[in-house]
Parts: sequence; structure tokens; C-alpha cells
Amino acid sequence: MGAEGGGCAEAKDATSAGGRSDVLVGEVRTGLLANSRALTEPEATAVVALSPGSQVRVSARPVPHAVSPGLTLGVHCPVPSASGTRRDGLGTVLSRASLTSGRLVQASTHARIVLGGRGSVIEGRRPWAHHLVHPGTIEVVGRLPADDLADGFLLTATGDGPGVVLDLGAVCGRLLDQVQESPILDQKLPFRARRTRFRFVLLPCRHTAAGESFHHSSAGDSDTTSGSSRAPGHVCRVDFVVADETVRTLRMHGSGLSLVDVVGLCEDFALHDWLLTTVQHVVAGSRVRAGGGGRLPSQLKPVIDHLLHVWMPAARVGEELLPVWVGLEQRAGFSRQWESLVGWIRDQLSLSLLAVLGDGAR
Amino acid sequence: MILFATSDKGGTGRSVTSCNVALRCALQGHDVCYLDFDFGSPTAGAIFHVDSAARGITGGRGLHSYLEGSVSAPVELDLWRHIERAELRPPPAGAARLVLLPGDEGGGEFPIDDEMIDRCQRLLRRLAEEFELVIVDLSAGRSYALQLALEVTARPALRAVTTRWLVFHRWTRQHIIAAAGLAYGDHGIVATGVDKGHVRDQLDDSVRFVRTAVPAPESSQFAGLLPTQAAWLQETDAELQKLAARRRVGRSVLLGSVPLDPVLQWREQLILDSDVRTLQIANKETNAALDALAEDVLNDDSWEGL
Amino acid sequence: MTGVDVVFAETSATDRTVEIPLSHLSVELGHLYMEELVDGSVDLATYFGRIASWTGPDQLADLARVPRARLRASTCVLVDDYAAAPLGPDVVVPRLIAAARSAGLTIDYIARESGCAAPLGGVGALAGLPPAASLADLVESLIVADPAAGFNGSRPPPHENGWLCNGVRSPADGARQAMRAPVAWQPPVENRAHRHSIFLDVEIWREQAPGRLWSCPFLATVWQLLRLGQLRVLGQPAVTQVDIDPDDLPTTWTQFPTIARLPGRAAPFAAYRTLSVLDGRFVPVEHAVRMTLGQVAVDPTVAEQTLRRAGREKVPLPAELPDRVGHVFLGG
Ligand SMILES: Nc1ncnc2c1ncn2[C@@H]1O[C@H](COP(=O)(O)OP(=O)(O)O)[C@@H](O)[C@H]1O
Ligand SMILES: [Mg+2]
Repeated sequence: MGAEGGGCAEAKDATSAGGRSDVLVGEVRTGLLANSRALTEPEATAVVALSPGSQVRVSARPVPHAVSPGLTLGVHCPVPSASGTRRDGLGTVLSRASLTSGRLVQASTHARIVLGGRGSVIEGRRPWAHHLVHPGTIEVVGRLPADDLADGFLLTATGDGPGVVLDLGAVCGRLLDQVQESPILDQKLPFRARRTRFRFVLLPCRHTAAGESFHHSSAGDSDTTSGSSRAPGHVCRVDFVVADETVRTLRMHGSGLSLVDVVGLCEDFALHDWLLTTVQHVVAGSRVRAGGGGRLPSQLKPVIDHLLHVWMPAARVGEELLPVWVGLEQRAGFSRQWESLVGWIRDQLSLSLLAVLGDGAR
Repeated sequence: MILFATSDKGGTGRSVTSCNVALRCALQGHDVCYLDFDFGSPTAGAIFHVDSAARGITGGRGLHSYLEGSVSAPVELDLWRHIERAELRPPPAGAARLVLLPGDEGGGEFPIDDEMIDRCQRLLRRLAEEFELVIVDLSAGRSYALQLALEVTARPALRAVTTRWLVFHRWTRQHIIAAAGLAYGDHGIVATGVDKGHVRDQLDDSVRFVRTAVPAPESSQFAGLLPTQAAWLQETDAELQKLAARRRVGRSVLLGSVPLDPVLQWREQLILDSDVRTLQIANKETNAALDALAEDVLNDDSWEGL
Repeated sequence: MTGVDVVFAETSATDRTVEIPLSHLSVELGHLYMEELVDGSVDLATYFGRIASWTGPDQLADLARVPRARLRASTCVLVDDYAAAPLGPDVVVPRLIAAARSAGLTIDYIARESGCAAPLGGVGALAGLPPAASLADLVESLIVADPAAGFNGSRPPPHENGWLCNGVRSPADGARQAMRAPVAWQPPVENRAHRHSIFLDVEIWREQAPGRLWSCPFLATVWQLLRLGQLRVLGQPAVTQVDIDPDDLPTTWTQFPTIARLPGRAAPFAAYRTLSVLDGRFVPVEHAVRMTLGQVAVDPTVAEQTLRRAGREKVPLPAELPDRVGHVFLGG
């Protein structure tokens, strides 16, 4: 008997209908795998085989990629709210870990938060099994505006604090730790790199007119990029904010989108943001202490060996969301920055080769 | 590398020396983080000139809270933003990350349970992933903090991470004996570590000693001494050397030695170049000794097996 | 909300989940302890006779919620051989078949409880399971505990070393820190209790050399999941039925398949729903089974395939696993 439908379930999109609205919230953490060399595919598979009996998804192109099965965790706590409104949610969050190029590690955690469900008292008493039928969904009892939730999630300082509110960051961080602790890894990192945190929300479009786009610059002095697109998936608006050295936030308004794809987009985006951040950091460091006589700054070597070839923007981004990538790319200039960094590194490499040749000639 | 700073007694100069080493390593371009595991008196903030965390941090987000499980991650202070010394603003070019994980203000010693060991291990492994040097300043003596450190480093997840131990002691008879006892004596680092699952030879090889506030008889400080006094100093010093060698804390396991410094004698602080050159309050020997110590800490040769 | 949201179930060449044939109803014809078979304290013919009066075709069709003419139902018995097995299949199986037949019942499948705790073998290793991992280990890894109010993910989920409950336990006493007053007793609370709590705390396993000793209710949960067709290892069925010849039976249970099919025209072993007709003394065990099933998150792809198929077949099927499990408890 074959696999009918192949298990590809179109997840519910973030829509608002009948006073109910769904908000997707999530966090991706990205870091350098704690191993001296890139893992082979079987090793990578073993590292992310986190749920016994379930399959690891691997793909070899365009860069090797291994994704753990989804991990489900039950939560019962207030959901975030910028206004401090206390609304309890009950349900599960979904997490997964992935390795890219056998070199980078990501953990991502997300939940679809269903706001303003109907009969609150009855719903509050639904058996737990009901919540396991919809993994990755948190049902909230009582009214809470979607924007209040999204602001609460994106803007509250960092999470991790002593608090009672849903803490996706902690779940995500623990998963990343768990992967990094795998006995398969030798814990000898070729260089040090900071982890980054990428928090995202997907909200319903404010205007129902399909494809209507609007954008205004977000408040605050942080580096904000807005892009809009008229894709068939109805992405109305995207705001990407570099909140501090390691925290980024993405707020997206859209409808008719597959949540699978949105999470995938965010992971891909977080990965490239991490690459850019990390290489930028190394290059900045080696510019200061550039070795004399055209010698290649020693910090550059691991970057050349381990990171440069991983850059493969939008490799796993679905058709529908590609315009979001393109829009962000243009505004944030990811690829331009990357090209210029790579160019500088190449120049250093050529200079060092010349220096070696010169030494030989003398 | 995770470097545990220990001492048998309080007031040896363990914290002050470690903080200065942390600063120097960061200035040399190595990412460093400093954990205040002196649970009874978390005052690393004061040494780093961070007024807001001079006696630990408020708000229940420090290391105490993290280890007890009330927060999912402890606060990490970017010291380049918090050190209140004008000379370090903006941070010198080429400086790498320098981060302090302070304890909680008002935090105290606490007994250890299994979950705490899990949390500690997770934290140290993550920091070892992000930083080249993780300095953990442990409470003096055979403390819970030391026990916790020995426990977590024996765990499989940390076994692969390089971990090293520094024992700080002053240059006196009592301190030498006490330091040797802490390292090699009953319920000392090696004995307890082996108990927890460490390999004896490896652990033994990863212990080094730092002598602090050492009077240098030949230095200008002692220029005005009577010949008899100078002779007595020389003699005592020679005796202490012999004692140290007998107790297995002699030159072969010595990582560094910091001279008695007038500034440090009066105040727990960072020694900057300006303290030596411009202000001319600290001794250049102290500066040099701290530089050498910072270099040796990161130099694998100084940790070669004996 | 209808249907299943499967957020992480993307298709790819390596991600194939096999569907298995399903009956409408899997009927468990009683359960006996091994000792009762040994000492003959139970009159098997009478025993099956009482079960037969609850498993007539109309009754089954009703429970399966399909017209009688369409009904696909299979019958099964689980042999209690995990703790001790003084009698082998060559003795037990013919006795069961004969006694059932005398009551007009046909047993289609006979399974052994120890199979739920036996190593999965080769597939297990591939799937990231420890070499000796069993179906029980697999199911334990699928447990997503019902969170207590206040659980927000900031700490790892509490793991209670082999116990699972439906609420919040009474706080353990013994003040942790010195100089602090001991805490007054507080009652346990059932999550989402209906006015009053019925708190249930179930032992899942206990450490006993050489490994884990799985509890009877937990193995019974594994058994229910097998009957519901919800277990896969790397997308493949976790167990496949093996045909046996009743005239040529092994003398020990280890030589017996985990699930054996007896000759005849049996409907598929697994089913949309299950019915277990049991003595009333099994109420506590089955209560525990329902509670545990309610905290098992099976592979979403499998869950979704089953629901879709039921939809196509026009079989009403509850999404929640405990609701697919039916019982008849017989009085003394
Ligand atoms: N090299 C030194 N010369 C003079 N005084 C020192 C020296 N090193 C440290 N001290 C002083 O010794 C005291 C104890 O140092 P501290 O680092 O707090 O010790 P510990 O951490 O071992 O308890 C402090 O007042 C400190 O300034
Ligand atoms: Mg101190």
C-alpha cells in the first residue's frame, strides 16, 4: 500500500474569520555545530534523529540539509501580550532541529496561536488528547487582539526572564543545546561564533483586499527593513528588524500561506542572517589585526573552509514566499553585503598568495 | 576552554587576578566570558567596575536564579558596555567579546541537586561553544561551587571540552600548604574529581598554580631594607620555594606569579596600561605579570602534561 | 476545527509513511492471567460464552458505526506471558481456540504481551533507537505529557522516572532549605477536572535488572495502539502479523510471533476502533490505558492518513485516540 497524499498536509493559514484569528509565532536559533569538521550525511542524520522511530528528512542539494522529526511539547500558560492582558493558552508547541552543510545547526520552535475561540468554559475543559490531534496549536480562551499578542512576543525584551508567559525561546535554546551535546560531536569548534535568535510572527492581513500592500517605517532607532509584495500567497507586509547584535525579528502579514513554508522561510532567512553576521564579525576582527606582509589573517581560514560555500539564499523557500525573500534581499541587501565580504576575503587570499610567490622569488 | 579559578582560602587574589586575565585575553582578540560562581559573595561586577552589578545583579536573573531554575537563561553583561573606565570607552580596536555572567545580589550558597547539575552543564557547554575562554570563579575552599564544577565536568557532554583548573595562593607557608591540600589532599580537587568519574592523570595534569601578591625582594619596593632584612627575605623566599616543591606546587606546575602591587593592595580593580604609564600608580611588573599570565592561560604548551 | 494540522510533515523522497489495512473494529475477546490458565480456575467455555453474548454482529456493527453488511471486524486475544510463562503456545493456543469455538467465537489473531517489550531488532537501530529498544520504548517516546497549569516551556518538562499522571501531584514534603517551615499538605489536582478531581498516577516502568520492567497498563496501551494501527518505525508498520499453523506450534513464546494470524478469512488486524470485552477487575488497568493513550502523540502523518481514509469510507471516527477505544466490563 502506497503513501496516499504523501503526508503533505496543508497547514491552516493565518486568517481572521468570524472574530477568530490565528497568529503564528516562532523562534529560530542558529549556531556553529560543535564539531571540528563538517558531518557526513549519516552522521548528520544520527545527530538529528531526536525522536526514536521517526524519520529524519535529508536532502543533498543545493546544500546538504538534515531535519529532525517534529518534537511536541505541551504548554498551559498565558500567551504574550504587549498590554499585559493575561490570557491563558493550552496546547502544544512544535520544534525541530536541522543541520545545514553538516556545519551549521538550527533549532526552531513555533506555535499557531488560535485567539478568541468560542465557548470558553467548555473549551477550557477539552481533554488533552484533543490538543494532541492538532500539534503545534495553542488555543487561547478569551479575547486578545492579534497585534497585542504579536507585539508582546516580538518586543518584550528577550524572553528567558523570570516570568509565567509562554517561553518559546527557552524551548528552542534547550533543543539547540541538546543537539550540540550529541555524543557524535567532538566539541572542537574550528572557531567561535555567537548564536543568533530570530523571532517571527505571521499575522492576518489587515486589509482583506487581496494583495493590497502598505508599508510604513517601524518606530525605533533600530535597523528596519520593510518590503511588500503582491504574491499569490497574499503577503501584505513584512518587517525585518535587527534588534541587537544577536536578535532579529520578522513580522509578516499574510493570508492563504502554508505555515510549513513560512517556518521554512524563517529558518532559511535566519541561516543566512547568521552567516552574514558571523563572517562580518570575523572580517571586522581581521581588518584590525591584518597580518603584515600580505599574510592571510589566521581568522579567515576557518571561514573560508567552513562557511563560504554554505551561502545559498532561498534554497528551500517555496514558490509562494519567494517574493518575500526577494523583497527582503533588496531592502536589507543581504547578498550585496555577502558579495562584498567574500570579495574582501578573496583579495586577502590573492595578496597572501602573491606574498608567498614573492618570498619564493627572493 | 573552561578555566576554573579556585583557592583554598578567601582573599587570595583569585577574583582580582582572574578578572584581569579575562580583560587581557579579550584585548588580545579572544572571546572571553567570566562566570561569578563565588556564590557566597558575587562581587566580580565590582572588580570589573560595573556599578550596576557590584554585588551581583538585581531582578532575579543572575547565576543563582538560573542554577535554581527560576530563569531559563542567566543575564550576560557585555562588559564593553558596562565597564565604567573611560580608557575602555570605546573598546580598544581589536578587542574581542568580554562578557560577565554575574550572580544574584543577595544570593548565597546553596546545596546542589541533579537538575542544577544539568543546568550548569548545559550553560557551560554552550558558553564553551561561543567563547574561546570561559573563566569560572569558584567560591573558596571545598565549596558547593567546586563540587558542582567537578560534577559537571565529569559529565559526557563536557568531557570533550577542555577544562583546566587554576589554584590561586599567596606566597606564605600557610597558603602553600593549603593550596597543595586543595589540589591534592583529602577531598581535594583531584580526589573528589576521581570520585565523580574524572580520569586521575588527566585531571592531575590539568591543575596549575598561580602565586599572588608575591613580594619581590629585588624590587624597588624593598630598596630601603636593611641588609639583614634583605637577607632574611631572600632566605624565606628560598625556603618557601623548597616547601612548594615538596608539596608538589613547585615550578613545574606554576602558571604564573603576580607581584605584590600597591594598587591591588588597596583596591580590587582592573589594572590598565594607564594605571602604569599615565597615572603611575600600579607597577609595571604587575602589568607584565598579568600579561604573561593571560598569554600562558591560552597557550597549550603551558598545560602540557608533566 | 476539523482535520489535522501537520506543520512539519513535508513530502520528500525519504519521508514515506506506509498505510496499513484497517478493519472497522478490533474485538478483544477477554483477557486472562497466565496463572488462571495454569490452575484451571476459569472455565474457559463459560468465559467465552459470556463474551459471545456481547459480541454479536449487530452489536459490533453498531459499535463500529457501519451497516452490518459492510462490517469488517477482526477478533484477537492477548496472551499474558510477560511476567512468567509456565505454559507455551503449544498448550495455550489450542485451548483458547477450542474454548472460543465452543462458544461460537472465532479467534483471528493471537498476540503475546512480551512482544510489546521485546527488542525491535534491525529497524530499531536505524531509527535512532538503542539496540534493545522495544515497542514500549517507542511508545514511551511518543508521550507528550498533559501540562500542569503554569507550564510555559521555560524549564524542561518534568520527568518522573516511570510515572505518568493526569494532573498535578500533591507537593512532596520535606523542606528543601534549612530554616524554612514545612509545607502544609495539598491535594493532587486533575488537569481540567470536572468540579472534583479524579487524580490518576500510573506506573509506566520500573528499573529492574537487567533493564526496565514495563507495567501491565503500559503494555496494554501499546497493545491498543497496535490495534488502532497507529505505530510506525521509520514510516514502516511497527509489527506485521505472521501466519501460524495451529497444528505446529512452538513450545516457548519467544518463538511465537508478536502478532500471529490463525488460518481463516480474517479481516485486517488493525482497525479504526477497538472493543475490549473484559472482566470488571480490569477497570483500573483500562482507566490507566485511556489516560495514557490521551497523552500519546502518534506520527501526525499516520493520524491524518487514518482520518482521511475513514472519511473516504464514510466511517465516523473521533480524532482523539481514547475515544476510539470501547470497553465492555463483565460483572462477576
Ligand atoms: N597582586 C596583588 N597585590 C596586592 N594585593 C592584591 C593582589 N592581588 C589581589 N590583591 C588584593 O587581595 C584582596 C583579595 O583579593 P580577591 O581577588 O578578592 O581574593 P579572592 O577572590 O581570592 O577572595 C583584594 O583586596 C585584592 O585587591
Ligand atoms: Mg573573590
